Amino acid sequence: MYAKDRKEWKYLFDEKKDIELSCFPLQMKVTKLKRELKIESISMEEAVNEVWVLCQKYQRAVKQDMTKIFDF
Amino acid sequence: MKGKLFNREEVIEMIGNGKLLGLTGDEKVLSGLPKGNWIGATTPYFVDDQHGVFTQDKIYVNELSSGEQVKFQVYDPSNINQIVSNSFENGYTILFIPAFQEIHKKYALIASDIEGIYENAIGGMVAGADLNNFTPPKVYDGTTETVYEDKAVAVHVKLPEHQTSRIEILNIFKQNQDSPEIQFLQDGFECTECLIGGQKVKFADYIAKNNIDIKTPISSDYTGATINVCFQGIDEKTGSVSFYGPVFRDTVYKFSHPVNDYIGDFNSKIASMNDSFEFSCNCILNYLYGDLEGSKTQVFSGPVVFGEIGYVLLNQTLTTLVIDEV
Repeated sequence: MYAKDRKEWKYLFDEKKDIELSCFPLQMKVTKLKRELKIESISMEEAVNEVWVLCQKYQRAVKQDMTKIFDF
Repeated sequence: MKGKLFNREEVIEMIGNGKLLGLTGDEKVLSGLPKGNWIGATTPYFVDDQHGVFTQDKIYVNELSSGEQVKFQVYDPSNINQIVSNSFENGYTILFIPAFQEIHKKYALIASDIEGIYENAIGGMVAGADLNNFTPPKVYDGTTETVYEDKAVAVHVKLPEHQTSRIEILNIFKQNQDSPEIQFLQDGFECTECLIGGQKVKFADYIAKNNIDIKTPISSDYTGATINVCFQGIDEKTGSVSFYGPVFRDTVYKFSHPVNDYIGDFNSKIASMNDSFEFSCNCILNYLYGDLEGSKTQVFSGPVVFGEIGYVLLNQTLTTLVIDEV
């Protein structure tokens, strides 16, 4: 799994990058976190941490999405 | 593992063997089943192997992985927000909810805000009934032989460390990128006014004026996942537009492209899905609009339901619960 401090994790929440994912729980989680970031109920660091934890758990299922994010 | 339709006698034998079962069937065949490790929900619509089937005599059986530990729980609107905190740290939940009750609406409105909702699979269905002779949908807690019309039942399963659970979906609808953006003024299952392209309009008038087919859902983009909200109807007198799922104020929706060949579109996409699943269901609207009854299809096997649960309430979406080896 990619280190949590890699800058690419933040790409997930960057509207300009508009990354489309394929793993359903990751899609749903990222969308929820984007909304929370928008209303500033969480920080970017908290969002990255939450998504990193989810990706740790679903390493196999998110493999394709990780490639997309880290090859962006 | 995939499920199948069985006779009631066969199901009674399976219950007697102590297996953990998710049972779906008509009320006539589910009622009075013996006590055991099962939860149940009503629907007489199925796809079994290759055909769409309406039956009030058979029961669709999903034999569920019982993992390391199992607990059954009944939920009402006051405690449904505890569904994640009641579940195991690593596991999955199957949730059956009766349609058109407060518990159905409450879960649909709050699920996405529940802390940790996407960390373990929550799959399941909204129970229904025969559309030609509609009776209140029901769910069953087999451990107590109790039937509910206004509460939900769930089975929480603890998985071993080498397994994880997640939901996969297959949605044959695509957002129409030429559609104007639709935004709603409040969360809920109905609206009169909304914003279309930033302009406040009466939604029913807009639908009529633009000849919008309400058999095609509106949808929103969840970072690549298309999430549908289906139209239930339009009240001509009040101008109220109702939906089978909730719309949210903070979400942007678009109209979708219509689907002309449901079976063809499912078949073309099904290859990308994991075919080893614990539980699967599809939507009654796909069954009706796609004319699946009696049709030969390879699309999936499972109950046809009045709402799919894939963490949140989904509409018109084939939904499966998958267990992965880590």
